[in-house]
Amino acid sequence: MTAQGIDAFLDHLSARGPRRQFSIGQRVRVHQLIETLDPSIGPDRLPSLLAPILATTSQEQEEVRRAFEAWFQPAAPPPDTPPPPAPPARVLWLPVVLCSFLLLAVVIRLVPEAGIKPAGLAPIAIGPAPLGPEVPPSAITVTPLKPSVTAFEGYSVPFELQALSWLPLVLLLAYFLHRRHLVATVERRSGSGPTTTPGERRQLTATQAARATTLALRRRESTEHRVLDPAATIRATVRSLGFPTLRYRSLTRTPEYLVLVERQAQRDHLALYLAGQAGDLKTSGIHIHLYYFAGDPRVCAAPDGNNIPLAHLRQRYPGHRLVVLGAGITLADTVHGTLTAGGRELRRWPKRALLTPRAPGEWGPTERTLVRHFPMAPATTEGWQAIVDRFEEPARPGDEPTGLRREPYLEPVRTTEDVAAYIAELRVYLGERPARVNNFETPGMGIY
Amino acid sequence: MNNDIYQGKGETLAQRNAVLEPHRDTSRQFDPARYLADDSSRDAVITARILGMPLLITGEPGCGKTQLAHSVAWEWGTEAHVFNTRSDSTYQKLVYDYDHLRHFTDSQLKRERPIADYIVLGAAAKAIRDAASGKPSVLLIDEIDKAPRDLPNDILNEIERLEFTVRETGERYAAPRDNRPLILFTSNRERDLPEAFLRRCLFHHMAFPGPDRLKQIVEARLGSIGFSIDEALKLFLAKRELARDKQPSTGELLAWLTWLDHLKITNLSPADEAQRAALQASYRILAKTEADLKNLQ
Repeated sequence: MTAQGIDAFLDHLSARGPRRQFSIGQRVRVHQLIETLDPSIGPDRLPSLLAPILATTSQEQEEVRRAFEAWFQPAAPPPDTPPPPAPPARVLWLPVVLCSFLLLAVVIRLVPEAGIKPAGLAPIAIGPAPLGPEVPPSAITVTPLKPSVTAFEGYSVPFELQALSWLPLVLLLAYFLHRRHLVATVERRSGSGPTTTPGERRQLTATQAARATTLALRRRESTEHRVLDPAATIRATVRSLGFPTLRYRSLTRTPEYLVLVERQAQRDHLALYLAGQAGDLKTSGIHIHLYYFAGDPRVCAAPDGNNIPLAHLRQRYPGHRLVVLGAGITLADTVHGTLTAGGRELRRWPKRALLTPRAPGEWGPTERTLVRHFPMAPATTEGWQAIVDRFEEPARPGDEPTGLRREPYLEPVRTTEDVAAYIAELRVYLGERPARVNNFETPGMGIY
Repeated sequence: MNNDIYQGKGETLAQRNAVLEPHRDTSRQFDPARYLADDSSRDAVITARILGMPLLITGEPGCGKTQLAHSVAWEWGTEAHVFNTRSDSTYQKLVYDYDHLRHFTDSQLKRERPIADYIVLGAAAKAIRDAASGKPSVLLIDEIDKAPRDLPNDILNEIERLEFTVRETGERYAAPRDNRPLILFTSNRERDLPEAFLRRCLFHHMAFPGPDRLKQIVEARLGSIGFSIDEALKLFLAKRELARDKQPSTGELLAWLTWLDHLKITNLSPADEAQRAALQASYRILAKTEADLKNLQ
């Protein structure tokens, strides 16, 4: 096998998608391996020798094997079976036909003007008329050099044919426009959803608050494991005049997050936005495992669409911090003021929180039910930071969150000057209806 | 072996004139000389050795990932250095640990020892030491996915360079360029490891073996058994499909067949009521959850 051959194979694999782009290191390793391999090793073993370099999942491992066999070892058909149908050739006929039409149109347009003389045209007499012995010189006439219009009449291009000559151009244009539309459709479908919100996402990661949130989310947490602290032990022993006094310290670890995004519909734009938030944090180096749920969280879905029971997530991520992104409508039974069965399952995570897209001013019975079981905050950058603070608080008996009204995001701080300014603006805006403005001055009435 | 070694009625063995016999010798099941690697696993090990890179092996629990490391070490005439990952595993424990408590005790008792006496080498240090001495070396870091997130990130440079220095003594351990230890990581899950870690490893997924290879494995591991292996494998594969929560793997198969052989079952479709009940009860070896056990029975 030549180096060019294996490079062509790697290019072929890379063309299958962005996830199959191979690094320079991988390509170098492939060549190193092939150069080092014993010549007695047959090519049939190359897929299993190369797959460890090229694959990072079991699916990719299988894909490499299949691609290799298809690329290097086309299977010969058994003698007693008919040959398999040829793979469909790439559709090239359409451009060829269109180009042919275009060429034909050009020929039709240009041929008469190119000076091809039609057969049977009488030569135009120029100069003196043929002289006969009996014709006197005075009888010599000059024939004007004027081509006969009727000479080209039989070769003029009919209007229908002229119109037909433009048809290939129109078809060609339509073909390219259709192709462009298809490509755009495929690209849109292969994206993360029906719409993207690049503006908001860029803003999320660019702000100073976002950077502070990222740092807070990454802040190490204590574990239940304790180890001997030599320095503290020595200090304590010295302080106790040599009596051995052991001191231990807790090990710390980087926190990991299990994020469940609530999806109200298959193409839920809000869920997409919230998942984008989590994706941005993941890009920033936060250890986030993202799953979705629709309605009942006891059955979740991985980003690739595969369903996974919540019980499995519980086994897989028992020590993770659980963050639910969504309004949590299906988690709360507002009639009884309790959690639904799905919501109760989420309580198995000792460290959990809910980030809701609803503004605090719109919070109602659902939120009042949920807040008894989940620390809640708005699904904003500040909200993420607020729940980190809650995660780092020591556990309280009864697992009952304290009143959240002291949190700034729950009760927007509005000074008397702020309220006066709002009222002044409203007076200017409403002008002729001052009675309504006075209603806002009623004590206890918030302005949202 | 007496099947009534425990009755759950408060009557002692002595009162029943019974003895607790030694349990069945299962060492044959874990004998690395009897391990049969599939072709892709064999080639993955060859690739890892040629390139001097760590190999991450994934696969179902019980499919033989750990045994592969012992098999390689067996064939190379050495012993695999094993680091069993725990939820509190740290990089320091993988390379070396300083016994502060012992040093502290000795200092209290006025005992003088060299500092090196308090250094406890970890599995990675032992593997590097073996490699430095020219011997083949195998390091198994088992179930890396159970480690805290920090461990895979902490060992990125070490698994690339394979060298470290003991801070307390200044002693440096480094693997030679042409004889790096074969590092095998095992994991039951995929994609939960950091990307940076995955980039530095080769990857191999150990698929569940097909019927023919299962038969070879059973014959190699268990030898002759009192019933048809083909029939047993057919039944096992059918039951495996019924398990929803956790499908039984090769390890469960070997344990199940060992138990059936112990029960002296000769027919896997027994007409005898007692044998049928025993067969039903044996499915608890294959099932790992209550729901799966109900499905299998």
